[in-house]
Formats: sequence, C-alpha cells, structure tokens
Amino acid sequence: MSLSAVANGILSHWRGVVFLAVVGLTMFAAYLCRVDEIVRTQGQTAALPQIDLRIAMITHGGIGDPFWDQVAAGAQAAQREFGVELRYDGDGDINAQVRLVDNAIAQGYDVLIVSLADPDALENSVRAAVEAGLLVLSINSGEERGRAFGAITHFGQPDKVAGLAAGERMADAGVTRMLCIIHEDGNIGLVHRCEEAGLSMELAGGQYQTLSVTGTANIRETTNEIGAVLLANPNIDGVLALNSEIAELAQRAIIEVNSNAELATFDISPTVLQDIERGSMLFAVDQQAYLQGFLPIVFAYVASVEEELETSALLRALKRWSASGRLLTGPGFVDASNVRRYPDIRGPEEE
Amino acid sequence: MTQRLSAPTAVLQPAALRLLPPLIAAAVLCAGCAEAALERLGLAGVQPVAIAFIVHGTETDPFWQEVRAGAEEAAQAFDASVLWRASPDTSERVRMVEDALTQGFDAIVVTLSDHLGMERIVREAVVEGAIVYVINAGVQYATAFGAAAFFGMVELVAGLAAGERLAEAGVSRLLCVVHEPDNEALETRCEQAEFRIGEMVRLEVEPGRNAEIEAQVEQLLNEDAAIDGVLSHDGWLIAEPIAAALARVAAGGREIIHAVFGVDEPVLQGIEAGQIFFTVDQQPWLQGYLPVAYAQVKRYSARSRTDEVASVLLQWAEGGGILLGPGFVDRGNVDLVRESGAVAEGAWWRGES
Repeated sequence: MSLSAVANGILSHWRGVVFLAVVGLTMFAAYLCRVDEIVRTQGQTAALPQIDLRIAMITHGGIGDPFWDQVAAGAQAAQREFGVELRYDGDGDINAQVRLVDNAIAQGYDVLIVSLADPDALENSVRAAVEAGLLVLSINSGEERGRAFGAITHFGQPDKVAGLAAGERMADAGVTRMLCIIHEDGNIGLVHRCEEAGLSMELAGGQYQTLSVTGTANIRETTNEIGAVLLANPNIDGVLALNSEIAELAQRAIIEVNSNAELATFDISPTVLQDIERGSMLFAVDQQAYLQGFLPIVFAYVASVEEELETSALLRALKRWSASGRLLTGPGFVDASNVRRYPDIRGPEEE
Repeated sequence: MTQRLSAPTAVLQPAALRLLPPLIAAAVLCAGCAEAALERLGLAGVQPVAIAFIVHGTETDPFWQEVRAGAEEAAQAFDASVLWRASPDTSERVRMVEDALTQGFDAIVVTLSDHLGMERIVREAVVEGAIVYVINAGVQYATAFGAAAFFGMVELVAGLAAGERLAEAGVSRLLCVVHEPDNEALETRCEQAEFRIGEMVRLEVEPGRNAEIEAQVEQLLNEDAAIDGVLSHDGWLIAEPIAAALARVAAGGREIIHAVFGVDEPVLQGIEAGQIFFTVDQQPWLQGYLPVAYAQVKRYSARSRTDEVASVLLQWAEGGGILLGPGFVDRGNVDLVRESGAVAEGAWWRGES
C-alpha cells in the first residue's frame, strides 16, 4: 500500500496526464516523454502543447439516444484532454444534418467528423468540406462512400463483418431459424447486418428471415409486431436485434408470447449486460460507441501536431494505421464468458 | 461506484487502481524518461514485467522483424522485458511456451497459425495464471482458449474483402500463392477470396527461392489461360518473383491483376507503378507493441474502474481484441501511407538519429 500512497500523493500533479497517459498506452508514448520533460522543467503543469484546432462532429444520432450519448461522451473526453475546440451536434433528420455540415464549413472548422448513415444526402456537403480543406473523418457508418468523397479514415464497425460473425455465433449456439429485426427504413447498414448474419446461418444449414418493425418511435407497436411473428412462426428459435433498445422490446415480446427463441443483439446497454449475465441473452455485438467519439479526435489532434512528434516510431505506426483507411472499433463480443469483466460505460466521472 | 461492474477476479483497492495512470505515464518511450519518472514515483525497484513472444514467423521474415521491432519499442517504453522466440514448427513452439511457463514469464504472446497444435498449451498457460495474448493469427480461437485478447487481423474478413475487390475489378479465376504450408491463415484468405471470386487455383512455393517461384508461376499461368488474378502474401518477399513472372506474361499481351498482403516499400512502389493493384495492411508493428503495453497495464492494475478512458481501452481489448486490419492500400492512399514514415525500407525502426 505504501507504493499506492506514493502514487496517490503524486497523482494530483499527474491528473492532467492521466487520460493522455492511458491513451499513450496505445497511442503516443513519445508524447508523454515531452510531457514528462515539461513536468520536470516546470515542476507543476502537465499540459499538452495547445494547438488551435476546431473540430466539428456531426452525427445522425438524436440527442437522448443512449448510443449517441456515449459517442458524445467520448468526444467530450477527448476534447477535454487535448484542449481542442469541439462542436458536437447530432440530428436524426437528414436535412438538419446536412445543414449542420454546411454550417461547419462556413464557420471555418478545421476538422469534420461525420457519420454517413445517408451518404447520398450528405455527398455534396462532405465533398465541399474536403474541397474547403477540412480534414474529414467518418465514423459509425458510410465507410466506403465516405472514402469516395475524400474522408481519410473511418472509425467504426463494418456492418457486414459484424453480421457475419453474429450469425456464426447464433448458429454455434444452436439457432436454426433466425429472425433478424430491421428497425430503421433505408438504413443500409442494418440490411447488411441481417444479410450477412443470414448468410452465416445458411452456411450452417439454417434459415433466416427479416422483419421490418415500426421502431423505437412506437415501443408498444414494435413489441407487438415482433410478438406476432414469433406466434405465427413457432419454429423461430433465434432473434437478432440490431440495437439495444430493440433488443429490450424483443425480450419483452419473447416473454409475452411465451416463445423459447434465443436472443442476441447489436450494441450494449445496462439492461443488455444484465440479460447476458442472467443468461436470458446469448451475446451482444459491441462496436465501442465511446471510442467512435474519442479516437477520431485523438487522430485529428495527432495529425495536426505532426512536426513535433516525428521522432516517435509509435506515432508513425499509428499514422500508418489511420492511413490504411479504417480503424475497426468492433465487432467485439460480450457473452457469459466475459460479461462480468465488461464495464458498462457510465457518463463522465463525477469530480 | 457501480458495484455490479466489478468482476470477482479483479477486486482492487481504489488506491491500487490509482497506480495505473502514473505508471503508464511513467512508462514513457525513451528509457531514460521512464526511469526518471519511476524514480520520482518511488517505484524504481519494481520488477519489470516479463513477456515471451513465441511466434510462427521466422526471424528473417521482414514482416516478423517489424512485429519484433514494435515489441522491442514497447519494452523500452514500458520498461518491460521481452523474449523473442520463433519457429515455424508447432511442436517446437509448444516446447518454447512450456519453457517460458517454467521460467515464470508474466505474459505469453503466441500466434495460432496452427490452432489445434497450440490449444493444449495455451489453455495450460491460462490455468497457470499467465496472461496470454494471441497476435496475428487465430482470432476465432483466442478467447475460446482463454486468451485475454487478440491483436491482429480477422483473416476471414480480409480474404472476403480482398476477393470482393478483385471480383469487382473483373477477376474470375484466381491464383492464390501460399508460402507457409502450415499456416491456416493463408488458407482462410485464399478460400474466402475464392468464395467471392468463384474459382481459385492454389500454388505452394518456398520463400527465398525466387527463380523457382518465378518459373512455377509462369508455367502455371501458361498452362491455365483462364487465370486473371494473383493473390500473394507477405509483401515483396513473395510478390517480387511473381511480379517478374507477370511482367513476362504481360509482355505477351495478357493482363493479370496482382494483389498482395503486406506493406513494404517495394510493394508501395509497385502500387504506384500500377504493377500491384492493392495490398492489405494489418499493422505488424502494432501487433508487437500493443500486447506489451496491455500486459504492463494488466500487471500493475488488473483493471481500472475509476478512469473512464482507461476502462474503455481495456474494454476494447476485452471484447475479443483489437482488430488491426484489414486495411487497404491502393493508388488512392499510397501517398498517405508513405507519408506516415512507418513503412519498412529496411531497418527503418532502428537507429533513430
């Protein structure tokens, strides 16, 4: 404990280094060396070199959506650590999202981080951002289209890969008739997840069908829709939900109609983790929402202070990672084997 | 404090948790830096974590030299000690792991290029309490065998994606060149590429024998007029003789698309010259660096629940691993990749001036 006490005593000075230090674990140890020098010479302040960087992160997630709240929390944590200027905005209405991007360009932001759930609608604006010299990074969805528009790196989980792996896990768990629930019309990513999960199912000798539901806008209606299909097709023995809220509704539907279908989902929530722990859910596919907010800002920051950091082999390796076009934040899997080691992400730490 | 989040295996005093950040901060890149910081923290006497890498790639393979360079860099940065052992022979690797366990290594990093051959010893290592990480090959077995995390590329996905790109470019019959007959990962890539393309011919070659490889490829292409694409692994090492054969075939007016796994300077030049269609990058350097970094953190903290970002980064690995690929390098981003300064020309990682 004496070591801890020493560490604790020094911790106050290191407070500012803490987050950076952890990031340094995977990212910039070299940087810390600089910080360390600053600490040594100034005795007190452990600050990162301040750079003038204005970042706009504009997503298709509505405020209050738990997934996107995590993305925002990650972005804000990075903002605090690197002292950049961040504007985070999310709007589920595509016209509003387009306007937000256009505004960011007009306001002279240096970096645009954008989710491309509807790439067609955003194409002109994103191309305009690239044209105007912004560093454009895409997160969560629209990887390929984004690259075509000029985005440098994508941070997220490839839907096809995740779908394929999820289907494989369902088949491994003994599911032979899978129902895949699509909760948003026109979201191509969801279709990809179902198609590839279905492909895995078929390769394992099973079958699958998709169901389009009303969605989270009407919880009761959606639950009924799922229940009706389960009632009508009693041999459905597996349900794959594509986000955590829908998973909760599907769980309710399964109980209501007394189905014995197994349930699995994309994305985690406290309820999802509880269900996995209790054994009433097979697994969840985790795409690390928080990191989808945090990492692009880290990389934007690194890209903008490059001259000072050229001596770091680690930094070069990270740049190569981002230059190859994508940082996969998922798919990770939470199931009975690791759920107890899986910390649920809470909001920012209370001071 | 949310109680349900703490795992029974990781019950730690809050004070001990707080060790994590300063320790990582201390474990800074330049050795001198780390020492000074450790001293200031009163931790100068702490035993460094000992990590054994036991991999299937040979010492002379440039890919594995890059992995090793990453591991050594991290060893310096985090004040860890790294042992590097390599053998393409599975039973020999099993013996090496046994040795490492006897010698009391804290962490063991293995590749599962032959997952059946390695399964018993990996499970044993976990039971004995070593942190086991899997790198490079075997993502689908890593957690099943009890490994703490995987760092590398999902071969299945890489093969599918490479096949998709080749199919889109019009390839309908693929020659897949395999240079490590015991490496399941290469078979997976070839099979998955075939799945997207339709037809595949497999050719086994022996690395280093360039004249022989060149002749083998050329002969096969002459015999099989329908082959319109070639996929090879391990960068320029294997791509060089293939490119030579393809150049001769191309002189006769036949066009064959060549795609590669592995990034090095000559491959980048091949991409720029239009000789190579694309290459798949899986970040070998980070495959060496990350397990050392994570092992060090685990060793000192087991897990931090007090720091938001730390817990997220640890969770990232906990979900099965950190996926370092497949990334694609083609004409569109070859400049960016070169600008990163991280591509091996030779021993780029050594001798910083």
